[in-house]
Amino acid sequence: MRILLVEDEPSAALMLAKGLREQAYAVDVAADGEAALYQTSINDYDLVILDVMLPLKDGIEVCNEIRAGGSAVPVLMLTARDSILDRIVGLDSGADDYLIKPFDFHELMARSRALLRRGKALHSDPITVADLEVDTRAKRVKRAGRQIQLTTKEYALIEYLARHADRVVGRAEIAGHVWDENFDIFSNLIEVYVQRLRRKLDDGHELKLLRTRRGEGYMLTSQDED
Amino acid sequence: MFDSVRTRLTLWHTGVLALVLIGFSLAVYALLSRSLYRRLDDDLRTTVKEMGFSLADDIDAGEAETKAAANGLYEHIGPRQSAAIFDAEGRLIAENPSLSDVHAQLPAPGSIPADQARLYTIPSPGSAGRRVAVQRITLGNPGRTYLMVVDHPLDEVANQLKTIRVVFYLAISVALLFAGLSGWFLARRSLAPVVDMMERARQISAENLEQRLPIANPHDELGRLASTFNALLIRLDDSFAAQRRFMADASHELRTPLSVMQTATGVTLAQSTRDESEYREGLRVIDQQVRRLTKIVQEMFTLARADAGGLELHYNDFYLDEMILETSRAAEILAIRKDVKIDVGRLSETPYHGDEGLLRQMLLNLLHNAIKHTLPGGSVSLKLQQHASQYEIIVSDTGLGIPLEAQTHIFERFYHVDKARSRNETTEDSGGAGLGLSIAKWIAEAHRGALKLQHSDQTGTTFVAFLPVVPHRQ
Repeated sequence: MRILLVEDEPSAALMLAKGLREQAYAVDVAADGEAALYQTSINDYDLVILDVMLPLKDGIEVCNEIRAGGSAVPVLMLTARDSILDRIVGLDSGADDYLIKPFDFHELMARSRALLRRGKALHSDPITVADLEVDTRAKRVKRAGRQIQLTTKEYALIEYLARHADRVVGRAEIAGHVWDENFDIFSNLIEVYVQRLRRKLDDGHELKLLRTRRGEGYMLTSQDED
Repeated sequence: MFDSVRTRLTLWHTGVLALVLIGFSLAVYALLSRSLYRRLDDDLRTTVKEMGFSLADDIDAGEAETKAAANGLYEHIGPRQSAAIFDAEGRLIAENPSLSDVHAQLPAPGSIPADQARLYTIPSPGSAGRRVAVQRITLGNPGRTYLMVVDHPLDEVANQLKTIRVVFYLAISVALLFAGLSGWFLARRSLAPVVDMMERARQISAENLEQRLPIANPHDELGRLASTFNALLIRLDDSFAAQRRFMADASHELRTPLSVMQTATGVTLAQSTRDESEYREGLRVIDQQVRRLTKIVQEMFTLARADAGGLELHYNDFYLDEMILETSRAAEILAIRKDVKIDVGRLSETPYHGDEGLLRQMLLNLLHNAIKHTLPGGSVSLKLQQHASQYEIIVSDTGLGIPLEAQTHIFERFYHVDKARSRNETTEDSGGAGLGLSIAKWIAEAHRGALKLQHSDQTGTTFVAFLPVVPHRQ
């Protein structure tokens, strides 16, 4: 899951990005409104966490422009202004949720998860594919009841594939949602991760869940190949 | 109930009217009664006199005494009157009609003056009594004395006066009742706007200070009262609004560093174990925010105390040039880190009397502000000049200038030129609450001086602090 964090306060951005990355999200940071709009125009984010007080363009304007551009990306607004009017203006500009500073980091995570769940279709939590369980809250994966040890990045990859189970997911899509802007598109990092995941998930199981579609991408599915 | 203005007005109004009416009625009644009694007396005098003439004529004509007396009585007696004639010894010669009760009380003939009627009243229980006229007359040769008595019952006059009294009682009562009622309604009508204002004022509280009292007629006393009250409401509303704005701004300023701190602790503690360097990083962020918070709270506290009049100026004698030099050295640390040069112009010895600590803070705020808005490689210059009766401390920078639309607001509390809290990444200057210039302005004004933005464009910004040469001596 790839998140754009828009926050002009350097130390706040630093800590939030760190926390989000530790929760297996790919995070890009924008420090002002213009940068945020540029980032959303070139990347397909799963969530935008948007501070309201920003240089150049404030969060309300940014949100309005994101919506005007036809994007339905979930937007979680952060602000130190807590009047009812501020909340109304924020939500009316197209934000999906609103969190008042100071906030609890765990609440931010819970609200982010809620917004990500809402994304394309409502997902049950944990997500299950055959006997594979992906618990997006605890960030844990089980196969046939046994927990599988994964690194943060491996988890991020399996979560993304599980959210789009039974559908072929291309390499570019994986790069765009699991890795952040620093990802080198020409590396074979994705293949390496898929190999490792396949070993951890499917070794010793009759039904192979993680499959490769040559020239197309990868798919997590329990259906029989045709 | 007597506390009500309406009741008091009505009572006064009716009371005064009652006094006037009663006084007038008493006077009219007294005049009327006097004239009625006088007419009665005049009638009695005339009758008794004419009886005398008639008696004298008849006796001169040689009529017998009794006959002459009877003629006199018969000819001159008026309606409802009765009369009698006695001789000097008090023997009744003639009467018409019987007057026994009156005659029994005749005064002694010696007490009656000659040729002049004497009048007196005989009271009688159950009626108004009788008015009696007695006259002594001496006729013939040798002279024989007669007493002539005429009386008239007083009940007629008494009844007339009684009727008048009743008329007065009724008229006064009706008039007072009418005056009282009309006064009551008039008072109610003219006081209705007051009641209206009272009702409206009762509903006004801190939550709906934008409400105003109704003004029926802006030119009368009540209209002016309402206008005055409304003006008071406007002032209250303004100061409440300023207070609310201050609270909102202050809470915003305090929330931002608190939020960063909470994020730092939340993120750091989200993992059960971490490297020492990561804890260090979290603590560094928290430390930076605590400093920022401390600075904001200090600034807010300073201004709040200044507002409340709790910040006293401690006057002492010092040299302005020395103070400027020392403050510029203190600001140097920040300037060097930002690669900004501080130029201090030639300073001549300038003794001054003022609050050195506060003036130092004013200058430091101005210098920090200048350094903050100057790009690396730029410079900040500091000058001290004397013009007529005031010193001018001039702080100029080569920064980017303050946008035109922001120039009128820069002294406002919590105002940030860049809407997104212009902030430095250096730990030392972690940005204030936007109160630095407000505080500097307050300090200058507390010294009976002023702080002005003299000029600002892309080439730089110049602030001038004016301080009177002869400050307020304590």
